[in-house]
Amino acid sequence: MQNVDEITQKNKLSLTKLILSNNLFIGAIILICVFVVASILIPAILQPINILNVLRTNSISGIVAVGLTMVLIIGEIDLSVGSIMSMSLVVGGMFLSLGSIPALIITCLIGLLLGFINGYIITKWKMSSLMVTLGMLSVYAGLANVISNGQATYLYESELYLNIGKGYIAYLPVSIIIFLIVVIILTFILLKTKFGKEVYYSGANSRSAWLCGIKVNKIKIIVYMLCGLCAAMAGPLLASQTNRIIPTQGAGYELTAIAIAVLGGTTLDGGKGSVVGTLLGALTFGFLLNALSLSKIGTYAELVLKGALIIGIVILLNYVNKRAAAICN
Amino acid sequence: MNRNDNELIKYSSNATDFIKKYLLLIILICTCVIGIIISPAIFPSPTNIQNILFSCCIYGIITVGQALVMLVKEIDLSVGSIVAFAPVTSIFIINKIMIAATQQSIIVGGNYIQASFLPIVLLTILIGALVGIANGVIVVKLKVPSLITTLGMLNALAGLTYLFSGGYAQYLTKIPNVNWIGTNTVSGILPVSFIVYLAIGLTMVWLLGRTKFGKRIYSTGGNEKAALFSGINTGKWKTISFGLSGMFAGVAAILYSSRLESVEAIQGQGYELFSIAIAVIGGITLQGGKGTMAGTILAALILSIVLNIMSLLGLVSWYQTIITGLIIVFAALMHTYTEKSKTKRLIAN
Amino acid sequence: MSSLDKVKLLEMKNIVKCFSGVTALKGVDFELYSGEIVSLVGVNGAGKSTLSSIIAGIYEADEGEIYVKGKLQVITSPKKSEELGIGIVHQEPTLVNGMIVWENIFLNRELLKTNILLDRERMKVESKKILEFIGFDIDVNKKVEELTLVEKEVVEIAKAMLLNPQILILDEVTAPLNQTEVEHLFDIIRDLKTKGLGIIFIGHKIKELTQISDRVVVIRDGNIVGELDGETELLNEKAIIHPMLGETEGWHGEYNEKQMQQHGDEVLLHLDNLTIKGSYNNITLDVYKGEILGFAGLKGAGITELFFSIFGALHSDSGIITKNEKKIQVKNPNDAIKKGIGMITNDRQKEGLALTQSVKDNIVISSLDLYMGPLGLLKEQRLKEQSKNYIKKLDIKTTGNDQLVQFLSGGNQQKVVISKWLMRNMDVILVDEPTRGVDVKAKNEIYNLLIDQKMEKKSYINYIT
Repeated sequence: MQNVDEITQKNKLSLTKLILSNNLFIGAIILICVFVVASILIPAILQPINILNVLRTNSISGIVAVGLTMVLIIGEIDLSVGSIMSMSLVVGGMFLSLGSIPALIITCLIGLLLGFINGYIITKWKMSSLMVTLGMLSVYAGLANVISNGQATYLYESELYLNIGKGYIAYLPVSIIIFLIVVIILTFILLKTKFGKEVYYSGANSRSAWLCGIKVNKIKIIVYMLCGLCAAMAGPLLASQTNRIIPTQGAGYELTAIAIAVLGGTTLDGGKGSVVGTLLGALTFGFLLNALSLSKIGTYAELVLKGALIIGIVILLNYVNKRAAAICN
Repeated sequence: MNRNDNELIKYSSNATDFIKKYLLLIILICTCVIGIIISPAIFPSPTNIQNILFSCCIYGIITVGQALVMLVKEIDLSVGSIVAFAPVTSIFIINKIMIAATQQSIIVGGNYIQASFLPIVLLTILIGALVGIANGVIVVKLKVPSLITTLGMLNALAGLTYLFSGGYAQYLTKIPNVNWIGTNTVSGILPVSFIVYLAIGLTMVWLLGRTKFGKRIYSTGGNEKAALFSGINTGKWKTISFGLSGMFAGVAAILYSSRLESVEAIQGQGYELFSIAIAVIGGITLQGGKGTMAGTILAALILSIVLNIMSLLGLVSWYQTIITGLIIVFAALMHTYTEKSKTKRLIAN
Repeated sequence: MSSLDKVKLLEMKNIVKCFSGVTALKGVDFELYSGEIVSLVGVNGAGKSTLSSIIAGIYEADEGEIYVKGKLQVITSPKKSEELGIGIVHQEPTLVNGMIVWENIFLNRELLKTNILLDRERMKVESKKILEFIGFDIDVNKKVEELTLVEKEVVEIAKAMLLNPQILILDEVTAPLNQTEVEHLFDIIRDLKTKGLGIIFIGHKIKELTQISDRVVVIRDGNIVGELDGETELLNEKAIIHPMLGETEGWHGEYNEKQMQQHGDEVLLHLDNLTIKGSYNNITLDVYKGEILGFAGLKGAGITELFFSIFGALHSDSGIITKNEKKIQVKNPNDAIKKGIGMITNDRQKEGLALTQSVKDNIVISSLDLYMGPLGLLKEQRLKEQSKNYIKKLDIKTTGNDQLVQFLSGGNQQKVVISKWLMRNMDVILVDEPTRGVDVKAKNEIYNLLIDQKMEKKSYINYIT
């Protein structure tokens, strides 16, 4: 017979277990802490205009990050997301004369294509995704610049394109809406469909997955294509905010995307992670950076912060997971 | 399997081994030939050769460090940013010290540095080593994957470089003898810097091949568990590799700034990619424990010549980026295939 | 064979060892004499690895005394253990594939000349000497990845013999070997015994142990529960298994002989001249509905490769597979499953499960397409129920659907794998060593399961050693 003490102890243990073992929960807690601390130190953060700005900017990084999240879940990595963004932007921009919508469609198609190329090379020749996407990072970035001759393309002639990143739908910036739609669709796919389950299983053990009848290669290629698509979608949103397409638009986004995904609880090992977590990660990341720029520490500090942050996040998560494992055993 | 089959396999593997051993040499010769064909007047000229050898030694020295790190199955993406960070920070620190000591800044009239070179050199190399060790500690002790650690470090260092330098270049022309090591040559063709590279590279070849050091590095990368079971402190050797990688990046920074007589805030940007490409061409992969340092020396020459040919062809630097990327993918592909065919042969045995 | 003057090499008294609250060893006494082979047996988790790790200096005992050659010692580290003349060959391979034989033997113990340079010549010579001592001829310049499995084990032993130990611990060294290879290795071990070494042999293949041991020590739940002496008692398997399990459990299967041999008249699967060069040659056979077809053979005889070929994980060079009288081509496992062929592989951790996923996810993963609703959504509720069903039916010891499979014991993990295939209702399942590394109790449960299934007209192709 268990007495009351034992039962409460057990309940406490399971609550702590739940918190510590669920990276998503941790992500939410981090976000709340960051937001609270930041708003205490820098009240300016709470201004609606500021919040809207942060949400808008980080929705864009978030779109790239959720695509990358899927790649991480399946146990691979894609360092070329920034370059995919640049290249799809540039190629799409070449079709502006046909109109904004064709240009945007082409941008998305190029994203799918480049993602396909990544996925194909990695699966067909069984290569390290780190090596391949590191190489492709250079190739796509270089191509973007060579194709455009290093020149910017101005968007003034294309109404829709010009406003896509600046526009609102029902008081919310378009970027946020697109981000939320992407998150909802991807979460749905990952959690509720056969494809999603197979993604997680393949990330956990790709050989077992194959022997269970999962078409691992096909799934990986699809995931890379989705990642490329997400990277491509972010491009026009950014370009419209500066009124022009530049061939180096995506530079550095791979780090931001990884930082956000990891902050949201997705691991590099595969088999674990969530798109919703990445959303939280995007918000947390956004407010941290925002706090920094508002406190006038300067823009170069953003680079330092990004770098230190991603390292710090992994250290923190390592520690938390260790404590969780100790408690749960 | 009967005797004859065994003999056949021995012969065919001997043939492929021969090709593999001399493959890099063959490719090197081919690239030289192509260069001469494309630009018979300029390519073989002393100035051009000097240029090739100089860029080779810069990329090459960085690659020595990268190769070490890859041999222990890690990766160092921060080397490029160290090339800017180390000298900028060392000047920054020396400046602060001088101001504190003598009330005088070493930075005069619009970013000219007036100081003696030696302390800057030593401090730069030291800072490089310290950054490397920091990378090592984070990877080993804090268990952050090296991809993330060095990627984060790359950005953090780039940001700090801007902070310390304001984004401006700093000119070293007022420093006595600053360009000695960077521009001096032996008989007009062989840059002293290249000799420094060869010294470093060959020392590393010797260390890896003939001493305990080599066994530690190769076993740590080849099978970390096995190495641990044999009592090897794999964490220590990984940290040492990272430390050396950072240090060599610092050396490269010195050679670079000496020749250009300036320290640019963006120098070295993208060099990590070159170093990985060279390492991969030279036979070193992310699997760890495989490949030789001698191969990377040949590979450095090959890549430098390829890049030189491209600029002789008038191709803008973005083409270099494309080619480097393709080389990484292609060389990695080659390695995957040779591994596969090797295992196939073993299974057939 | 006359016995030499036996020296008591090792004496352990009342060894206690705890790991975060769990007592792995509860006061163990152990002795080892020179010139003898003592086997340490027990189920997974009984404490045999802990005991050998303490001798090897990997762990330190919490209580108790250890006497090496009569002197009281405290073995604080692997290095100390080496100094005391103890060598160990671990369960996990400790060879670096990219390096060659002598480099591996001398790993971390390199011989130097002038304090810096490696003395390659001397190391090669010494390596040859050790291999001669062991009585096995291997080219010391060969790369480890090119060695056969037996040769690799010999190199591991050579590594352990480097410092001339008198006590040698061999932990599961025969696991990857087939019968002839084991015999070969046993000859070498017996030879070492005549040279005066005291050898502790840890293994779980009871039959092997009865062949090689002079003495068998049985450990269960951290206690020594039995000791059998080969010189005076007849070593039979039951006498070893009973104390291991603590109950008189044996193979309980009682089935009508006739029932066992009965099977349907229809040929389910027909293999015609299947060949993979280097693995198996011209295999032609029939598998009937409701039949359990057993394969017997040595590891490396090509059985696993044959199974993989039928399952589509390997492609045969030539030959035809016919199912239900129609010729089929099995391109990959996905194809095989759609055609009603399943396979339980011999390495459940690497090939049968995704350890970081839950029990439910592992059970349902091959059946997802059968539980899809509108819009391609999965019928989550049904899947959860099915998974719970199988947990109950197979008596899988787990906290529930959501527990991660990595926390289950070997036997229960294997049951999860079996559930996965049962859920899909295959026509034929290839079974490759389903009870490898599974303790005796779970082994029995699994055998019973297979027979039950056969009674339901399913066909099984088995390879069980």
